[in-house]
Amino acid sequence: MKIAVVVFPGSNCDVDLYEALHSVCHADVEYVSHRATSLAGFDAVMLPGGFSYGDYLRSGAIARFANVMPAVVKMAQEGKPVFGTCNGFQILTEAGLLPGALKHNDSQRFVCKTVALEVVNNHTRFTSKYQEHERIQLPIAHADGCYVASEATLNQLEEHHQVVFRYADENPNGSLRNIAGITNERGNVLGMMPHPERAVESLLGNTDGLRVFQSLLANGSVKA
Amino acid sequence: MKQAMTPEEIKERRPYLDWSLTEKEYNYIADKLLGRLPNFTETGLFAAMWSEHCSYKKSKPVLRLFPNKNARVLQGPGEGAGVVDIDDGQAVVFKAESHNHPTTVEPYQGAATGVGGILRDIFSMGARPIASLDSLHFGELTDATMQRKVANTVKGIGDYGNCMGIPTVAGETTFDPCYQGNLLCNAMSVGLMEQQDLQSGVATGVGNAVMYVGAKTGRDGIHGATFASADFSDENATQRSAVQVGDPFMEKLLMEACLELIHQHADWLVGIQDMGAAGIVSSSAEMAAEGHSGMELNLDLVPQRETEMSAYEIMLSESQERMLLCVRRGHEADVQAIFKRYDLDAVTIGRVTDGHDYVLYHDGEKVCDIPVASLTDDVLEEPSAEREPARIKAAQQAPVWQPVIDNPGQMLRRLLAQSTIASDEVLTQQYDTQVRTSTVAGPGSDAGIIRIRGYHKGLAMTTDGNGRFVYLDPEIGGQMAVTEAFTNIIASGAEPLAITDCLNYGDPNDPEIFWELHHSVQGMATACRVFDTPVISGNVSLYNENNGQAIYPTPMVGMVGLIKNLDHVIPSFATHAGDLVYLIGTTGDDYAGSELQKMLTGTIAGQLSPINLAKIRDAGHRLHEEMVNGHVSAAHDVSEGGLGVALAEMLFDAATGMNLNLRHLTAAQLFSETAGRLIVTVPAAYQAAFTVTLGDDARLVGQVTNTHWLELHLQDAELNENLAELAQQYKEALPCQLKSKD
Amino acid sequence: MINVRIYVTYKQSVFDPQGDTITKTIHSIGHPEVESVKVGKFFDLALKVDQDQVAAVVKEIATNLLVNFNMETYSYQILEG
Repeated sequence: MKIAVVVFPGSNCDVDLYEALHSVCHADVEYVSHRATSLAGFDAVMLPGGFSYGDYLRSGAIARFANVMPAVVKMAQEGKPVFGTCNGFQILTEAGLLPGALKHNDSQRFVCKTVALEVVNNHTRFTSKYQEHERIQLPIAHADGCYVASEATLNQLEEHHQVVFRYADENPNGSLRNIAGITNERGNVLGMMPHPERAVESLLGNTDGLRVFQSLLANGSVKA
Repeated sequence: MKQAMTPEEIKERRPYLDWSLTEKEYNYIADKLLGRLPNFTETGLFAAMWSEHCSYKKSKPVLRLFPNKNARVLQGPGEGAGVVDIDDGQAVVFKAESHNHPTTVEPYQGAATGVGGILRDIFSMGARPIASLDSLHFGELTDATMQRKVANTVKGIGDYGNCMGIPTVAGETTFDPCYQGNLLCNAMSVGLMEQQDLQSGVATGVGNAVMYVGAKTGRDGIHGATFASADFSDENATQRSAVQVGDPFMEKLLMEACLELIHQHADWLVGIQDMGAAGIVSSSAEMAAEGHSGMELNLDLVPQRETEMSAYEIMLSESQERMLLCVRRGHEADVQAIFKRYDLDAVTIGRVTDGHDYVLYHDGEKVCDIPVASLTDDVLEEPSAEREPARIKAAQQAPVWQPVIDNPGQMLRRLLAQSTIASDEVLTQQYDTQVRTSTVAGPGSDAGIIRIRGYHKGLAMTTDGNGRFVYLDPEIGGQMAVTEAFTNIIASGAEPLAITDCLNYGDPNDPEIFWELHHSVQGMATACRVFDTPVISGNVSLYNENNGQAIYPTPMVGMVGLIKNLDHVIPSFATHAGDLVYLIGTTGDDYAGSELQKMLTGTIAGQLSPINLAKIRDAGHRLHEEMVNGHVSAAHDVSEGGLGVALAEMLFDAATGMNLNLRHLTAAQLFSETAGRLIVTVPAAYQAAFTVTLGDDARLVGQVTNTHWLELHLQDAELNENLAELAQQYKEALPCQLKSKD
Repeated sequence: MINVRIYVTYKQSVFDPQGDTITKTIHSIGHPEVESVKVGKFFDLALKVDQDQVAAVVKEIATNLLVNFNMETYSYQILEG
């Protein structure tokens, strides 16, 4: 399975995603510039965290116009895995690949800490190595992480088991229904505010995020 | 002719006085250096380049006291940042810089651009920034204005560093009335590089290009350098020039482009320097001076964001996110192509010339023609008068303040809620501490620890400074600042390498303030020699005053240490019940300048005890040996609030407690702030080995327990406290004090 | 009740990085005719004061809180209704 990590101007967790896949999971992974117009040859694409285009205007709002985005949309339409964490999640919502939006945290502050999450749905290609309702700890680091959507959309998300991660103890940003990560209806696009790529090595004190990548690598060839 | 005044008018009307150039300096320039009257542009350039901020004319004689070499130092002061060998062909690059005045005036942008500036210093050396630290000193949180300043300063640091993707892993935040009208914001950055990539701010080779890269030039912060060199008073508030606005997104692109150029095309590049204080003039003149070259610039080619800018404004603008490069003739287009890919301007604005003249053209006219060295090397250095402040003598004769404490538990609870001691998690959680996924230890530990990918080694880093001690006794206070950094680095399991500093003082023209500067630097230098931690970079911030009232002299020390094997990282938390608890260093009656004194008397007074630096060093080295042997399970340095606070801090994030026999100490001594002490825990199995190595330096006082209680048996009192309740005090104090009460 | 809208913007000489980045993006989506974009913010205040006090109250609030004159400036308008 060959994975693309897209680098937008202002991405800064691109290295972290790359290293989690390359050094820790020994996966076949390559950086792809925002200028690229094709993702041919890749089986999955990942949008990293950071501040694409400075997060000016709205987080992710400018990145969705990047050259590479039509190719990302195409991969999503083909049912290939598309993953976005933090700024990557914001870009996926701005691009319309995931419903809802990420608003400024209700604290009005950037927050970096480790929070408890519940794995709500382990029947996705990104979470199959977790137990259902398993509690895990993952770092968050964002200013715009408050997930909002219409009541109808929220109900639909729940109905179709698209809520994958929920904040378990405290809700650090005011997200509706404690939502921390969702998929599209087809289940091949996952966006989440927490950073699994920051929790893959015991040296740094946490390995709870490792199974996101291991799940994906194990399920890579499975059709959605 | 766009010059606002003729040379004769300048001589007569003396506008340079407003730019902090003295009449004596002006006359020296005209009579001795140029042999003619300088024109308006030239006068402006001299004022900026001869400001303390650029020239260090006041502090230079004192800075010479610092040691700045040892076997590991590859680059000492004088470049963008200092460089130290960390084996394997790698080097660590670091520097600290103050942004006190901009942050006082506009906390958000001042703090943000402070971070931006220090990061450029690091990547201009060829290093990738891997961590940031900040040392912040605020006034008391009693009014809403200061609460807002704290919030905005922290947000400024966070927004810039977070966007750049550089983790903020350590630092300190203190509160004291002396910073009410002039807060201190010192930012430190640490970078990692391959030694072969080392760059220098130099321009050589006749005909080579001087290239301007990054953001366009506007009228921001003109005379920021002289602004940093004149004190504050309220009536000035509306006359100040606009502060600069930071653009971390632009800086991120600039960093990536510069590093790509340095790492992949070093042969195209002769030199590179950040455009910091005094913008184009300081970077270009310094690069020419470093290369003993002449330089010619055409200011019409400088990318400009505003129209009708004068030569003077273009040269002195402090617009952010700009760098100056010296590029080999013929590679201008290659360099341009790299920057183009990052959507950045890269423009040739001049050439290196034969001879030693600094020549500027604007609107087709020659607006400046002066010797390069007159801007950088010929600065008039005058001996400063100094005088010991009366308070020092008075303190020696005053009766010693001896606190009486009946209830040490209650006193500990109160101390844990003091703003300087209390947990600053509410602030540090606004910093991304983990981006780059290399943070082994972040805020809350004695030192931040960053692993180096591809190796099993890491770097430990800390900032320390306590103006109260320096105020009471500059010499010993200076030693204490370095000592605290040393013990923090030792506690983390690292070997101390070197330091950077920010020297924050009042107006040096006041002989008493110059005396403080001189003696505290002397104290720091002595400690640096004893610890073999040379000063490899740093900055000086003078004129930290508000309406004539100076801050405490506050030198900040930033120290970096090397962890050769990450298996030997030592946590600050005692998590293993049954481990033995040792105190390293002896505790005296050191209450002068302590948090206890400040809390109980509302002020600080008294005399500091001399420090036995060699003893602290030797104990530190022996302790390090035991850490490398794997015999130490946790270590924490003792600082503000003394042993009592340090013991509690070691247990807050653990489920454990401690039961200690401290019969050799009084209840008051539990809060004494004697320098150079550590608390360590040792698994019982290693007791014998540990005792042999440490000898008299360590005193066994008890054990880590598996209940979350702190039990201390003192000479004249007992302390028995629930750690969960103490932790609540400790964690809730600052969020509560930061909330507006009205 | 008087409704006042206070606009706060950067001074002309101060760089507006957000406006600059948005300008570039507008160009990239096919609108090169846009010369520049400046970003600011506005505050809607419902004031319980007399008409003749508005200017003074707004000035005081703007000066003490909403505006940092080192880099920003402001204007205001009284809203209808």
